[in-house]
Amino acid sequence: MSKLLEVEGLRVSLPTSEGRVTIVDGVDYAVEPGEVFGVAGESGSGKTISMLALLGLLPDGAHVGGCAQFGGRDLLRLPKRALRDVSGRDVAMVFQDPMTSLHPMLSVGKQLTEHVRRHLGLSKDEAERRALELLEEVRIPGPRSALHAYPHQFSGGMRQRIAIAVALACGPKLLIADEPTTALDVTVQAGILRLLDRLRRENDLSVVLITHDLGVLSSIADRISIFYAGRVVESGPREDVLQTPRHPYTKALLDALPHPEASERPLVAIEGAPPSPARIPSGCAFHPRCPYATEQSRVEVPPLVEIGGGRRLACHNDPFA
Amino acid sequence: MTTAPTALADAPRARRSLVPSPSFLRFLGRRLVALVLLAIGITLVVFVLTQLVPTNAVTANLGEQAAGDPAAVASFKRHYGLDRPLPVRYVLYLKHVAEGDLGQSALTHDAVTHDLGQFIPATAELAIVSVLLAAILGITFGVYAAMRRNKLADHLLRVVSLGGISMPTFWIALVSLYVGFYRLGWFPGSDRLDPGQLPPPHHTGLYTIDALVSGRWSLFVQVLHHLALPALVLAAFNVSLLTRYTRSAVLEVAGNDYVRAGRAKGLPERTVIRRYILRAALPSVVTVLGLVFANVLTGAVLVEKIFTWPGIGQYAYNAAVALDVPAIAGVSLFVAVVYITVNFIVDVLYGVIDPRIRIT
Amino acid sequence: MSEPLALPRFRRRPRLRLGPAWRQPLAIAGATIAVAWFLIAIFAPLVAPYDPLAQSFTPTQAPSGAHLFGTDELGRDVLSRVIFGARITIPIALLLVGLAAAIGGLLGAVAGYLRGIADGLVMRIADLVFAFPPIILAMVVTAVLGRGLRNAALAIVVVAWPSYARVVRGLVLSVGDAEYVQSARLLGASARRALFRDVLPNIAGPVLVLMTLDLANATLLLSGLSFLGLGAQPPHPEWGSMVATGTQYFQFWWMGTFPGLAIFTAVLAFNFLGDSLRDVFDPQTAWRSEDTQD
Repeated sequence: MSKLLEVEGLRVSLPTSEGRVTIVDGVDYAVEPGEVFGVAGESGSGKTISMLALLGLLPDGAHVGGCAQFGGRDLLRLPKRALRDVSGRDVAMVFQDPMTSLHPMLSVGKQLTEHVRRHLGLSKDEAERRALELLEEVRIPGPRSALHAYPHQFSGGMRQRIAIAVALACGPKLLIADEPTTALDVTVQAGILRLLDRLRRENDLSVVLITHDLGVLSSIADRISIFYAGRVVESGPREDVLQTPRHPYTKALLDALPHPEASERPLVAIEGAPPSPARIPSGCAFHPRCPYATEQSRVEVPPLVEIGGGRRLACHNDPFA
Repeated sequence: MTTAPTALADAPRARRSLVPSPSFLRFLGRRLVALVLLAIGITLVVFVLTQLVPTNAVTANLGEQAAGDPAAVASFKRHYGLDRPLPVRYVLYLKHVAEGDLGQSALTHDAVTHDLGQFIPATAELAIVSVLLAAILGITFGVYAAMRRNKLADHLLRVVSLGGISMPTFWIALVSLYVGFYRLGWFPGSDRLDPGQLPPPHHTGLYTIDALVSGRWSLFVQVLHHLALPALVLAAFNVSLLTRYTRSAVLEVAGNDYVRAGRAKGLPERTVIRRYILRAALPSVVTVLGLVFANVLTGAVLVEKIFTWPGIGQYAYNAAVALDVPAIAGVSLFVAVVYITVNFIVDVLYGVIDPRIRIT
Repeated sequence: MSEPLALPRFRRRPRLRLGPAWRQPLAIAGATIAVAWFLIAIFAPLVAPYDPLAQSFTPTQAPSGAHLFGTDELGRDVLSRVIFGARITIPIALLLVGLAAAIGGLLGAVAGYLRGIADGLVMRIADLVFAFPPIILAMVVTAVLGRGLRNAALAIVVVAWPSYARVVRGLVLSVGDAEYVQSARLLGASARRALFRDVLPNIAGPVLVLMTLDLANATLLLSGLSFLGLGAQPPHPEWGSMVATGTQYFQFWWMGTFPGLAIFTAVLAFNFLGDSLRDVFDPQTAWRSEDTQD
């Protein structure tokens, strides 16, 4: 099966007050057509930055390396103009906080149609009809009046639905959703996840779902990548990674998760804090927090290697093999 | 799992129409009430200040001769209620103001309203041209600085704009007059027209417009020639101010998520800058225009003196120096009311531009 | 003329961190010029080549080796007058900004702390002062009090205090509501302790920025009033009134140019300092010199 998106050796560094800091340090992953690909990791692990890099959305001064094959082209080497044609049309994004990701002074209708008209060349009326369909599809009540309303007139959950409608407006092949439920109430979260899942099935869409919450992925992801300190430490099919984690970090993340089926099991917090990108530990970046760390972990960066069953692991010791 | 939209009942009409929404009318009403209250407060301040001026109002107004005539003094005192207690006098003052009677200037021996009518057009023309100049230049520089943030151009504009708000207006006026008029002779040194030139037929009192209306091109050019130097001098401070303001407003907006979202939608950079950044930064820039206007009025007092420009700045200055109480009171009342009205308009504009303001 | 200060927003408990300001070239330049003017003001009799009031030279001489800034219409040395002018402008500017900050700060703190009627009253008065362009109100006040340097300074205090009242009131209100102050109160910290440990440090920064920028505004306004003849009276070597004389002796450019340059450099120093300080408190739009290479 041919891949929709294939990222290899992605590296990103940003200028900060402490000098140039490498945020993403050689990340590989691939997204299949029609799947939900989950990316999990603590904040600061580089998962968001690695997605923003794909569409050239990083701040000035960012350096990006590696390649990202999408539809036979390397997104990281596309000229700005060509990348604009891909953005919003073939690859769309949904951001974390719907309170800030919609333009407060443009009507919902305008935000739903402006890129549709540009990318698909629709007339004003056609674009407006399309916008109505989209609002219905994401279950906004009263779509006709919503078209002329402004974002501040909607609740957070409704705004995120609008943001999803905006992202889907041009019929993209890939939707990158960056923590789309984090800023929302728990009761609203499930609704947004179900919506994403339904839209994916109905529209033949691949979704990259970024989250710090493995619980979110356990319900809808097909495959999962675990990020730590700018690298992938483990990846594979969802059931395998969540049920038999092989990396000590994945194991620790799962132990820290409240589990409905295993309520008698005590919650275990991960010792220590994730490292600042400016001060990544030597060797395996997880070694200071890892109970299984060895001398080799301290000095040598473990490579991400195939371990069979479509899984990959970056650990010298593989304590749960 | 759907949540109800918070204010959909209040959602705007099906099509953008020219009829303002009820919430906008409420917003407008509140601002209007505040404007009226502030205007009343201003009359109180002006009244109290004039009561404190240490001059004999009777001699100042009637002149030495008439002050010797008991009948004239009595009628003057009755008209202005000088024989009554303070609160009554304030009410009388309010009544006079409402009737358009601001008293008689001790200097010109004309009604203050008449004097204001004479001097306002000159200042209005100068102020409008200068605010326009400042807005065009300042906003352009500010956007440019923000787009080139932390690059050389940005740092240069920072130093230059700080210099601009540090120069005393009267000093720039003097230096530019020395260079532009005395040394180079490129600009006229004083007044609105060349000596001996009759003004265009009166329509608005703004010579630029009057000259255009009557189709006298050479006169129009002459008027602009006279306006150029004082308007530029007056604009210098505000260009710098607007540069700094626009820069920070644009940067504040450019860091927002929705700008990134706009780029992610694949909109051309031009559209992102115009529709996502500048549009959203506009309200903050508009709010500064009120301040810009106040600065122009402040500067006008100083610049008009140097360029012998026959405006209310000169009038106010002459009145203050001669302790011409009715004139001072009249000018400050007029200027303050114009100023709060400008701020009112700015507020309303803000509401028109930013839909969030109208609702809350 | 004035430039308003944006009210700072608090996200978490801030600390007074002036360190970064001193790494900026603008701050260094501003501090250097300001210190130079302070020293000139203090040591004026030692620095000035001649008596600023002595009419002992040929009038209206152009700048030369003997008179670097030339002489004025009465045969006084312009350089000496500019140097002695620092003794008038700088102490008065400091004094009146301190006074305005004290009065405005106190009223603002009371308004923010008591809220209710006191708040309404103070803020309405502030609104009224803001309803007049500063120079118009200052002119009227000087007319009421009579001309002269002291009255002009008082007039500027009248115009200047409301900005402090607004800023301090806003800060007291927002700091009082801030979670860390509330939690400090819940933990049993006394009101006074909360004031000194939490509220004051938060207010000090923005007020300091405002005061520095206001030194610039006050200097401009004071020299403006003197320029109009409402402030310093002859023969005082006040910079604004010297520029005014310069406008009457137009062809002798040095008479007005050099005193104006003195105002400009002093005001510029205060603005450089204030702007650098502001960067420390509002990093979102700050200019940074360290990452210019990108």
